[in-house]
Amino acid sequence: MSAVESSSQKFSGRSFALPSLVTAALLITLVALPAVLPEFWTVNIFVRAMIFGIVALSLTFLAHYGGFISLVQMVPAGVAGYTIAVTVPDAIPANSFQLPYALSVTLALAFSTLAGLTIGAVAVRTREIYLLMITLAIAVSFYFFVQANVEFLNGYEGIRNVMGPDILGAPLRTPAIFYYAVLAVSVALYALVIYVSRAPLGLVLQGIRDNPRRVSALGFNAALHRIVAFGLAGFVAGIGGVLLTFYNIGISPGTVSTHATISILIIAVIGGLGHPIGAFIGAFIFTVFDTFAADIYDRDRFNTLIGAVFLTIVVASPDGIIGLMKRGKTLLARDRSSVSRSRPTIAP
Amino acid sequence: MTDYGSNRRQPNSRGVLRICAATQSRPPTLELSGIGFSFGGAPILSGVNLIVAQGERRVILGPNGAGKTTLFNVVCGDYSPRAGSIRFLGRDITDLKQHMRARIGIARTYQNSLLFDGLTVLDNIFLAIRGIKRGRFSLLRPRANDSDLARAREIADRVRIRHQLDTDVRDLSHGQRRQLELGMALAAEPKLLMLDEPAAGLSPGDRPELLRTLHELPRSLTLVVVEHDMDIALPIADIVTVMKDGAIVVERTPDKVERDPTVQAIYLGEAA
Repeated sequence: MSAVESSSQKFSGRSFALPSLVTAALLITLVALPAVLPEFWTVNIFVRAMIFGIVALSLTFLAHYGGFISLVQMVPAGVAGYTIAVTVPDAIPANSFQLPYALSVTLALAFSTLAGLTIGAVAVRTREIYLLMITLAIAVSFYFFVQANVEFLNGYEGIRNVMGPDILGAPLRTPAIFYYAVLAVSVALYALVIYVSRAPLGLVLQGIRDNPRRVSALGFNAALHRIVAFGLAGFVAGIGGVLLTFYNIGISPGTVSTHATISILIIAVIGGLGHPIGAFIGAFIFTVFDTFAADIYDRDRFNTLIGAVFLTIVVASPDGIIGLMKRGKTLLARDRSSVSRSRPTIAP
Repeated sequence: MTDYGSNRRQPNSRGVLRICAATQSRPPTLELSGIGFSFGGAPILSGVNLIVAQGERRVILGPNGAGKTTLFNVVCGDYSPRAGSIRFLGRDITDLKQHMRARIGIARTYQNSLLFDGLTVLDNIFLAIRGIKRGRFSLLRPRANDSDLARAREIADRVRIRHQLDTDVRDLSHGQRRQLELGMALAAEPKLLMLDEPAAGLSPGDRPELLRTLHELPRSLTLVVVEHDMDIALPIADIVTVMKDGAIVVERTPDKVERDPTVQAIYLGEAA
């Protein structure tokens, strides 16, 4: 293979996609799960994990490719969720908009993208701890806003009975349909993030992460690229917000609380901020602990348990579970090579 | 003290006279008038006037702290001058943003290579090409036969790092980083190329390669170079500007600059 062909195939950037064999095995397993696992596992664990994973994916996208660690991703998710809740016909309390689901979802994603763009514009000059602080402030403000708004958002009670649309003539809430729909959306969004990371926008983001000054010197408007990245992350988080609203059959301020905001960060860090797939792995671990905290120790001790997991991961592997797995693989490879080196050889 | 006017009338073997004749009909590539800049209260540049004609090779010399790199930063838009104006090909760009200066044809390299360490060599050059073109926000991955990718490979050839296209930039040697730095600046098809100590940290073996690359640059390109190494600086220079304490003190042709008493005083001490 010529150098040109080789380089064109490898272009461009580091996508951090899973190897194709692992991807295929994982996909087959996930598709087969409903056949072997009870509904409790597929819906209460996997669907929930994938939805949280989607919101965490939006954070991983910003953090890994742009170097922007944001605490605000539940806000675009919440904007999308509330947009759905106040526009669909069957919601309680009833509203006056009454849009069909297709239009409602489109509007929700448009608003979540707009929310992402706005947040990106507000935070455009901040980095690191200052970015964390400003995004946390926006998240907290949004929580208090939705809690205080009774007229449209029904205050702390929120809006319920958002059942979701029918898919292929069957209600979305049918467990198998919900599982496969969320799985398909998760895979599509994961693929989107991987794809964009190799496109010019993704490369520029990685450039901003590595060297923002050089990015500007090359002719890119770094600030505008940052804002667009937050908009794209808002779109991804918005899809998570829509699915979360369908999953919870409604939305309340608790969905966008500071606790939820921190949970998304914990999920992303546990999985590994440097890997898009880490968002889903972290979400799975988080959901398992959240669900089985009562069996492991005590229902009320969930925060202690997940906190201990979080601390262990941060201390043992700043790159999350994926980082641990990579290190394990490297150690194994080293062991194998040292064993083969120490093996006696027969001189020819 | 500048005597640019008198130097312009003194031809040398590298074509200063040709440049001066051209200057009369075309606006200079770069024209700095009374540039002042300070960090906090400390003045770094004061009253800098500089005219670089189209196609000219200008070398800027000066001891550490003379303000050479700051001058580059002001011209390229990293810093805004506190006083004075900057004109590029006759257009006032004093208030133009940094990325817009790159798009109208000003490219630079940095003293300490500023590269994208997490990306490959090919990605770095591709970004440098795409920075001045449409499609900067594209969400579509370029195809294998994309013309910008083909050009990125040409650039890699030109700066002799073609064999490293798929290497992560963090794994390059210092010399290769300097070559890539130059390649990225060239990739933007600049009208004015500003090189900040291109030979810094290069091994003696790498220096002839750099000199060869600089000699191969088209004469239509205006070049401004900050360089300490006289073996690199003087062979490429049409005019040498010497700075000290944030001001221009001498402008001479290369054959005269080494004998200039002011330059000797700056480099060898007042007693020289």
